[in-house]
Amino acid sequence: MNRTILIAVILAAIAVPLAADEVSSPSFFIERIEVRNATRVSPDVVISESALRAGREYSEAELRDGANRLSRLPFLLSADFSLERGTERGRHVLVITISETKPFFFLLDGRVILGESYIGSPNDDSLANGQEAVLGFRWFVGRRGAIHVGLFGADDDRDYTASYSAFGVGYTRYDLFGTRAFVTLNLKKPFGNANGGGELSPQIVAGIPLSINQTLTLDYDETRFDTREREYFELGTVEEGFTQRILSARWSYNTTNRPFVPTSGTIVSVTPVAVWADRKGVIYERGADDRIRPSRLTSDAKSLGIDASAKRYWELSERDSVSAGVAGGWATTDERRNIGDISYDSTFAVIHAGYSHSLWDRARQKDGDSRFEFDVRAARRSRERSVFLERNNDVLQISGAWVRRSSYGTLRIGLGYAW
Amino acid sequence: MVTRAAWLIVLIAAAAFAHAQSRPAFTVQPGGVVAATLPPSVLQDPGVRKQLGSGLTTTFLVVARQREAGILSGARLEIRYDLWDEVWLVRKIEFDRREERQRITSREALEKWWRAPLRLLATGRERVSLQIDLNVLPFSAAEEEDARQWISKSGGVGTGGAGNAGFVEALIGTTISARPITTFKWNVALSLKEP
Repeated sequence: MNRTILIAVILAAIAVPLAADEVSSPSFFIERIEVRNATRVSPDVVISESALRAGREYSEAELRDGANRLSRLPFLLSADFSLERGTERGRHVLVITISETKPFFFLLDGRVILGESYIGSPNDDSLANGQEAVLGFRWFVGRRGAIHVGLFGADDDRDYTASYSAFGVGYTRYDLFGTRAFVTLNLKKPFGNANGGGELSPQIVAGIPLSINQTLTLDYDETRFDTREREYFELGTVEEGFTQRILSARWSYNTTNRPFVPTSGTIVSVTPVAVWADRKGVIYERGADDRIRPSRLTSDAKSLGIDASAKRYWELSERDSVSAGVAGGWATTDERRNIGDISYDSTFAVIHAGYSHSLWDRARQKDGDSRFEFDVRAARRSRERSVFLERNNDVLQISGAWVRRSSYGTLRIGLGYAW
Repeated sequence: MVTRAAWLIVLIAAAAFAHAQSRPAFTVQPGGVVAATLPPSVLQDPGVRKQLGSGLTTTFLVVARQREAGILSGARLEIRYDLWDEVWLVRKIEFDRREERQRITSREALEKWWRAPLRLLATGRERVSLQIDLNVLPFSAAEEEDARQWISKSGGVGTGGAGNAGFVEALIGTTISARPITTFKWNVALSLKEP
């Protein structure tokens, strides 16, 4: 870290004032964008996701950001940019040479944390936005579409949402109405969850690029779990059911170089969230005599919250990288219940630092990565009211993992301890 | 037998020549200025050749660390092939901010420019041990304007004067966006004493 900062200071010393000159800050009129090496991925999708357009002039910085943006796509391993002459003097063809992943894909976060497990924060510690495990297949259809099917486990680790596993099928439309936005429609059927199986439920995700580095992602995720009856010793037969609807709008600024395990760049995000949860079943509460008793419950909860996080990655060498980040969030929940309404707040704050070392050199990293990573984090979480007890956790966690990224997907296995 | 010995000598000489060609040569200029002549083999590296032919800028960041004093210094070279004018546009910024720009019309002239001594540091010491890192970056090292503005607006390190702006420029140019194509490292001990 010190070395990087020192190098930056030295480079500042040899930096000269920025000027619009032809060597250091050139701009290029791009008359056409051509994608090469595309066998399964639609070239139109690649062009759309680069956020670059033919018929415009771009600086090298903008082209570099476009290349980084493509490198973060889960279905590309790499994207190299080069220029060729266009039809007239001063016009250029931007050639994007890609390396694709396989149509079959997986994402498995198999890290085991022993001890105190209550440390995660929304989307902060998982491989990709709360997705702990994904197994699926992706086909590109037409010029701007892709169909996917698969199994996935969603665990955003919020206090006021429920995790679930589901089978899903979906369609993504890229470059919607020529705007570079995309929309994904998922139909998912939950299975094997604590809340039981579920009914076919929709999820709609819309990504709107605000600039090459900034994206607004709107997500509506509805999950309807099956209604079922269960026998309770004290209460007899109780009907249980659960439905949750999560609406979020995530603004992100992202200059990282990879989709799942970045080694350089910055990612900042702010996510307002609204959650509606309807539950029927049993709740255990502590009475005035300090005994815990079950009660039949009908609850209609509404939560409003906001999460924010900032992470930065620095490459120290072609194999070594360090990272640091902070995250925090707040939410308030109002629950209307048959046994009395309640309101409570949830907060969390996390600070973390990491180091990773690749077993592969830079040339080989074009085809993926094999990397050890180590992470230290401290978290404070609190929730004013919980089912069994007041929770106010200050937790430290240390973990180590091996991450393997290939054209098939990303696997993380490792071990950690929290106390 | 004689033929074999001759071949052996030729092979050893070729290996020694190749080794010499893969390392920078150093000269000491008046004022204790250390200059490096970068090896032509850098330009022959497959990744570097590919980037040089891309029509986009290739940036060579040379960082020299004086091991005893822990002092860092460096220089920067930028090369871009203009597809329409068919010339190499080059820029050299040395440790004391001395800047030079040229339009070079042939690959041979480019390699000649590349072999010109690059002034890396000035020192008053009689001996210096240097670690030289050469990072080859795709695209220009000039920082991305909106990232700089964004950091400045967010209250980051770039809110101050020109010094801070330079710091942000270097930081962004080297740590946010520029993932090196390749990196070369050399260690060298130099005697600066007059013979």
